[in-house]
Amino acid sequence: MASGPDIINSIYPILPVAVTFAAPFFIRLLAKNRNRREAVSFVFSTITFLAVVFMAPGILEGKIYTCTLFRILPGMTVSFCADGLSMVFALISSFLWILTTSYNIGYMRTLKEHAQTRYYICFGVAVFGAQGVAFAGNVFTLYLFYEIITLFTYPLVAHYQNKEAFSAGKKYLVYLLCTSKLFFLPAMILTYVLCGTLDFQLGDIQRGIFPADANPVLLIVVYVLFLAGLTKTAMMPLHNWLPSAMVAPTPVSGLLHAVAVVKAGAFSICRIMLSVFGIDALHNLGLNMPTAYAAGFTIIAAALIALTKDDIKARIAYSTVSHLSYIVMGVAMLTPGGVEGGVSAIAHDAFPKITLFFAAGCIMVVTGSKKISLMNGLGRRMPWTFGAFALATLSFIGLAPASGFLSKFYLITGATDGGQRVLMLVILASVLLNMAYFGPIVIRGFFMPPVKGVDLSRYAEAPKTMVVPMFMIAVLSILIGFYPQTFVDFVDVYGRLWR
Amino acid sequence: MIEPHFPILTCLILLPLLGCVPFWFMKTSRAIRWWAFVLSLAEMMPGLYLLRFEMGTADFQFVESVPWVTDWGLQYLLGVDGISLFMVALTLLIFPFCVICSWTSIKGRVKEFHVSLFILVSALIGVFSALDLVLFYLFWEAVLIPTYLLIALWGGNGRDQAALKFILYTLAGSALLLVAIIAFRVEGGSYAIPTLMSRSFSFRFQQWMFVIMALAFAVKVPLFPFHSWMPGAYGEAPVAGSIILSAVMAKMGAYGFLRLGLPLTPDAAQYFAPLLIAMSICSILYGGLLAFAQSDLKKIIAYSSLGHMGFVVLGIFLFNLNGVQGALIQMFNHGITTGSLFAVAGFLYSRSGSHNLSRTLGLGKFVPVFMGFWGFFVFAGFAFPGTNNFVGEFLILAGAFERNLWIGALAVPGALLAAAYMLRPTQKMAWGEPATATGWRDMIPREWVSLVPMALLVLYLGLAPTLFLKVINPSLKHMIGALESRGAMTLMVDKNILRTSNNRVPFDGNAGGGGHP
Amino acid sequence: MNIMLLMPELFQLLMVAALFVQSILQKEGAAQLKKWLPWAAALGVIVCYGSLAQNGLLFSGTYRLDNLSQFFKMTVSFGFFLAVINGINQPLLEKEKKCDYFLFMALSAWGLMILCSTVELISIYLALELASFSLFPLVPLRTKSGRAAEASVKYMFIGGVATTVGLFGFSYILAAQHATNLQQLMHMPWTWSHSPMAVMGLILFLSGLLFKLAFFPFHFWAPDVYEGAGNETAAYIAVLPKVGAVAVLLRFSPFLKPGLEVTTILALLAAVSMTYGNLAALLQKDVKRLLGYSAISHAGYLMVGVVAGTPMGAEAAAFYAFSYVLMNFACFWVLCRESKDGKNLMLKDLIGLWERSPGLAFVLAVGAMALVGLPPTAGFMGKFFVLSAAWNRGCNWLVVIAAANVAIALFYYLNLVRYAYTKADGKPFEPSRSPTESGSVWMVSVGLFLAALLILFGILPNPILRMFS
Repeated sequence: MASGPDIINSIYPILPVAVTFAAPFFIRLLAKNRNRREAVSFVFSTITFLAVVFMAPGILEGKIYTCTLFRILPGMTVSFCADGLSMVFALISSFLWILTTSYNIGYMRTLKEHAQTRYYICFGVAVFGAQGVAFAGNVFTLYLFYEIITLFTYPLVAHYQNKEAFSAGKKYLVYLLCTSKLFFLPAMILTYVLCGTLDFQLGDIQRGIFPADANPVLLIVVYVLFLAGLTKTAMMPLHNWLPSAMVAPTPVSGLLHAVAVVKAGAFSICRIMLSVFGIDALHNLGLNMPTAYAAGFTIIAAALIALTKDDIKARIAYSTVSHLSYIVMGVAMLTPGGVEGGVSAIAHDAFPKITLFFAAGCIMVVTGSKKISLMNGLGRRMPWTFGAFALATLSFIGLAPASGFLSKFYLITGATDGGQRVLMLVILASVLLNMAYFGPIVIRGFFMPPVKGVDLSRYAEAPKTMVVPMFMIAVLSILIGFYPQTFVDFVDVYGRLWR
Repeated sequence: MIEPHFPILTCLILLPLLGCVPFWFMKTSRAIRWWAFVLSLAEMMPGLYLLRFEMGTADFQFVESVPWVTDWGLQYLLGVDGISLFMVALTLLIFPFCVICSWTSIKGRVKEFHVSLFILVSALIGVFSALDLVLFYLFWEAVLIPTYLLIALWGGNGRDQAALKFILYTLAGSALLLVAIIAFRVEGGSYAIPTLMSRSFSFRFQQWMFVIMALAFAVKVPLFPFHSWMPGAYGEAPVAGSIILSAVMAKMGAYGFLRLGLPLTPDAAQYFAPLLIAMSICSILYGGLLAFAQSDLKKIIAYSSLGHMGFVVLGIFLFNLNGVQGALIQMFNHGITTGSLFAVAGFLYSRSGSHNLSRTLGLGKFVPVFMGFWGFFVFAGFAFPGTNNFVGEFLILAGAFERNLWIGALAVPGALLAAAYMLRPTQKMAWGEPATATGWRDMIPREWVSLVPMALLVLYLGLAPTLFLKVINPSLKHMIGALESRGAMTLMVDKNILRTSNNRVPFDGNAGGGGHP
Repeated sequence: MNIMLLMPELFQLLMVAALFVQSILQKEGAAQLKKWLPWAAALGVIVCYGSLAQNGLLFSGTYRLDNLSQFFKMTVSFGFFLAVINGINQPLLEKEKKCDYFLFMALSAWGLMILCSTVELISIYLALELASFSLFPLVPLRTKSGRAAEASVKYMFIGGVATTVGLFGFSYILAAQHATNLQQLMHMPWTWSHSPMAVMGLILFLSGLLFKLAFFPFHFWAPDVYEGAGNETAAYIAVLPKVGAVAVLLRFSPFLKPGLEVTTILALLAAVSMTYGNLAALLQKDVKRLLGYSAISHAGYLMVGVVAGTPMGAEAAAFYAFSYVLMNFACFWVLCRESKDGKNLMLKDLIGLWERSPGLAFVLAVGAMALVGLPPTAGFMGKFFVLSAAWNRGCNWLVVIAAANVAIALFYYLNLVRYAYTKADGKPFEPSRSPTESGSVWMVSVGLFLAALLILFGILPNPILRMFS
C-alpha cells in the first residue's frame, strides 16, 4: 500500500466490449448461411478473448486501465475500467464463449432447434453484457450491462416458446427485473445522492466511496438494497428463478446460468462490497458477518435441496445456487484468504460447472432424458461424457489438483485467519454434501447395471462438436490446479493484498 | 433594453397559419399531405435560428414586445428561456412526425385535418413562448377546438364521447384561470410574466391563485384524480392526435407549473407541495396499475403517460435542482418516447385494423423490424439505462430521495410498474399465439424515416444529455434560488438523514473503530 | 343647433319615411326593396361611423351625444344592416307585408338610436316605447304560424307589463328626487336608508329596461318569442334591443357605486341570469330556443360590465355589445340560410352541415365559440374586458361565477358544432360525396366575412376600442 494505483486512461477496456457489441450485428447479417453465422461467433469470441488477454500483462504489473465513453450527468458516466477483478470474470466469460459456441452448434443442429439466429444473437449480446459488467467502471455502467444481460437472456430462457418456457421466462424476468428496479435502482440513486458520484474506488479496496459522515443506518439500508437487487447471485430467498430457468436449452444453462448470468451477479456483489463500500466501511457497519452467515445458509440449504432432485439439471442448478454463495461468503470474510478464495472462485468454479451442464446436455441429446435414476450404466456407453462429469466432480469435492480445490483452500484459510469457525464448518459440510449429490451420478453411470426396462444399447457417445469442448474444459479445470496463480494473481493485484 | 432582432417566435407561430392558405387550392390528398410535410419541415428552419440561444443566463431571450391593447394593459410579449426553449423544440420536432404518421390513416377530409393540426401547432408554440398572461391564456384555450375536432372527426369508435369529455373537463379546469390572470394584474400591476415574477404577493392571495392555476394545470397534465378524460381522448384520437396530445399538450400543464405556479406564487407552491406530491405519486402508481390491466394497446400507452407525467410533476414539486432538472428532461423525453410508441401502434393499426392486443400477436416472426423498434421504444419507456427516460427518472428519484426518503420509496415502484406493464404486452406481441401477423408488410421507408430520428434522439439524450442540461440549468437554478430565498420551507426536509448528527461516531479510512480527535 | 350632430338619426328617419312611402304606394314592394334597402342601410352605417366623434347636449339637456351614444348608434345601425341583408329574402313573409315589416324594423332601430342618446327619464321612456312598440308587429309576421301569433301576444303582454312597471318606477323617482335628468340624479344619494322610495323607483324603472335586455327575472318572453317568430325576426330581436338597453344602462352605471343595494341586486340578478340561462339552454333541442336562453345568459354578462360602474366597464360593455351583434348574427345567418322553408331549425337538422356547406359550418362554429367566449374570438375579448373591469369593484364573486359559467356554456354551444360537424346522418364518412351547396357563394361569403371579423376583433380589438374612446 505504499504507492497509489497506477490508473491509465486507455481504450483497452472498451475493446472486448466493442467486439462483443459488433458480434450480434454480424450474426444477423450472415443469418442466411449457417456456417458463416457460426463462424462469426467463433471469430468474435476469439478476438474478444485475445483483447482481454492483451490487457493481462499490464494489469498484473499493477496498472488499471480506465476509459470514459459518455458523460451523462455529473458523477454518472458510462465508463470502463480494467483491473484485477475485471480480468477474472472477463477471461472466463470470453474464453468459455469460444468453447460454448462449438457446443452450441452441436446441440442446436442435432436437435434441429428453431430460431437459431435469434439464439446466437442473444447469446452474443449476453456475453456482451457480461463483458460490460466485468469492465464496468462505475455503478451505472454495471447496472446498464446487468440489465442488458437480463433482457437479452429472456429469449434464451423462453426459447422453446411453449407454455412451460414462457412461464419460466416470466418468472425469470419478474424476479430479476423486479429486484433490480425495486432494490438496485434505489440503492444506486441513494449512492449518488450520498456521494455525488457513482465511480468505483479503483485500486483500493479498503476505502470505498462513501463520505465519512454519512448516516450509518442509511448505509446499511443501501447495502441491503444492493444485495437484494443483485438477484442474479441467487442468494436465498431470491433464488427460485434459477431452477425454473433450467427449461432453457442446456448450452444456455451452461454458459449463462453457470458462468455469465450468475457469475455477473456474484461479480457485481464483489464489486459493490469491495469497490463501493470498501473493507473499512463493511467492518465498521458490521455488515460482513451477517452477509457471510446468509451466504452460509444458502450454501447448506441449497445443497440439501439438491440432494432431493432427480432431474439432473435441477440438481446442478441447486448446486449452482449453493456454490455462488461461496463467492459472497468468501468476500464477506474480509480476510485476505477469504477475498482471494471468494473472487477466484468466480473463475475456478466456472470450468467445472459448465462441464457439468454440458455433460447433462450431452446426456439429454443422446437419451432425451434427464432423470438421474435412469442413468445407471450410461457411463459405459458414454465414457467421455461421464468422464468429464467425474473430473468436474473432483473440483467440487475439493480434491487437488482440481481448480475447485484451490478456491476452497483459500476459503478455509480465510476463515481460519478470521477466526470464523462456523464458516469453516460450513465449507467442510458443503464439501461433503457436494460429494453426496454428485458422487452418486458418477457411480451410477460407471458402476451400476442399467435399470430394468431401460435399453442402453441404442445410445452412443454424443457428437464430437459437443464432447470435445466439454472434455477440454474438464481437463482445463484440472490443469488450472497446476497453475494456481493464473487467477489468484489478478485477485492479489486487485486487492493489493500482501502475500 | 431589447435590441431589435428578427421576430423569430412570431414567425414560428404564424408560419403554420399562413401555410393553411395554400390548402385552399389543393385538390388531391397527395398534394395536401406533401405540402403539409414540407411545411412542417420548413417550420423547423426558423427553429434553427433558436440555436443562437445564449447559455449561461436565466433571462428571457428572443423577446418580442409589441403593445397590443394598451388601455387594458395587454402586451404582445413573447420570449423563451431555458425552460420553454425545449418545449418549443419539442413541438417543432413532433410536428413533422405527426404529419408523417398520419399519412395513410386519415382517409377523409384530409385538408381539414391538416388545417386543424397546423392551428394546433401554432397555438402550442404560442403557449410556450407567451410571456403575457392574457396572451398565454389566449393560446392555452385556443388549443381546445382544434384538438376537439381532431378527436371528434377522425378518431376511433368512441370518439364523440371522448372528445366531449376532453373539452368539457379541460375547459372546466381552466375556466377560472382567467379570473386569476385578472387578479394578478390588479395586484401586481401588469400582465407581463417577467414583471410579475419580481413582485411579491400576500400569502392568502397566493394560495387562491395557486389553487386556481393548479386546477387548470392538473387537468391538463393530467394528474390523478383529474385524469378520467385522458384514456378516452388518447385512445380514440387518431395517431397524430394521440401523439400531439401526449407528447406536447400534456406538457402544457407541467410547463404551467414551472412557468406560472412556482415563480408567481412560490410560498403557496411550497405550502401545497405535499398535496401535489401526493397526487403525483398517486398518478404514478394508479397509472401503472391500470396500464397493467388494459388490453388495448393505445390505452396502455395512455396510462403509462399518466404514470410518467406523475413523475414529472413530482420532480417539479421537489424544489431541488435534481428534481426540477429531471422533470424538464423527462418532459422532453417523454414526448419523444410516448410519441414514438403511439406512432408504432398506429403503424401496426394500419396493418391489423384494431388496437386490441389480441390482433397484434406473433409479430416477432413476421415483422421483426417492427418488433425491434417497438421493443426499443418500450425499453426507453421503462427507463432502461442508456435511454433518455432513464436520465429523467434518475434525476427525479435522486431529487426525491434528497427531499425525503419516503417520497423516493413510494415513487420507485412506479418505475417498476412501468417495466411490468410494458413488457407484458410486448411479450405477447412478439411471441403470442395464434399469430395474427401473417402476411403483414414489415416497415416501409416512410415509417423508417419517422422512427429513426426519434430512436437516435432517445440514444443521444440518454447517453449525452450534457448539452440539454447546460441549456436548462441557468433558468432552473434561478428559479430554485428564488424559491429558496423565500425563507424557511414548510416541507418536511430530512437533510439530516443523509448526514450524521454530531454525537454519532463517523468512520473514516484510518481508524478500525471510532475516530476521536 | 348643428344638423350634423343628428345625421345618424336623420338618415334612419329618412329610411323610415322612404319605407313608409313605398309601403303605401306599391302593392308588391318586394323586388324594389331588395334593390335599395341594403344599400341604404350600409350607407347608414357609414354615416354613423362618420359621426363617431360628435359631441353635444341637445334638446334642453335631454339628449346627449358622446362617445358612448355614437358608438352604440353605430352598433345599432350595423345590426340593422345585418338584419336587412339577413331578412331581405324571407321565405315566410308575404310580399305585401315586406315593406311594412322593414318599416317597423327601421322604426324600431330609430327608436333604439334615440335611446342611446337620451339622458332624461321621460325621454328614455319614450324612446324605449318607440323601439318596443315597433317590434310588436314584427313578431306575428310569419305566415300561417300559430306559434308566431302566440309569441307576439306573449311579447306584447309582458312588454306591456314591463312598461307599466317602468313608468310606475319613474313616478317614484320623480316624487323622491324631484328631478328627471340623469345628470342631476347622478349626484343624489341612492341608498336605501336615505331614500327608499327613490331606490324602489329606480329598481322598477330599470325593470322596464331589463325586460328589453331579457334579463332575469324578465326573461320569460325570450325563448318563446324567439321560437315563435320568424328566423330573421328573431335575429333582430335577439340582438338590437339588447344593445340599446345596454347603452341606457351604461348611462345609469355611475349610479351604481359598489356597496349600494341597487348594485348588489343587479349583480345578483346578473349571476342568476347567467347561470339560469346556461343551465336551461343545456336541455334545448330547438336552435332558436337555445339561442334564446343563451341570450339570457349574455344579458347577465353585459350586466357585469354595467355593474362595474367605471369608464372601463362602459368600454368593456360596449365592446361586448358590438361583438355580441357579430356573434349572434353569425349564428342566425347560418340558421336562416339552412332553414330554407323558414321553419324552425332543430339541432338534428344541422346534421351533415359540414358536408353540405363547409363554409357555413365554419361560420357556425366560429359564432358558437365566440358565444362561449373561447379565444381567439371577439367573444373572448369581450368577456375578458368585462371581467377585468368588474374585478375589485366589490363583487368579485360575480366575476368568479361569470368565469365558471363559460364552462357550463360550452356544452350546449358545442352541440351546435357537434351536430354540424361530427354527427353523421347514418351514412359512412365518404370523401367522394360532392357537397351540395346550401346557398350561393354570396351567402357563404357574407357569413365568412362575419366570422373573419369575429376572429379579427378577437385578436386585434383596438379598432373597436378606438371607436369608443
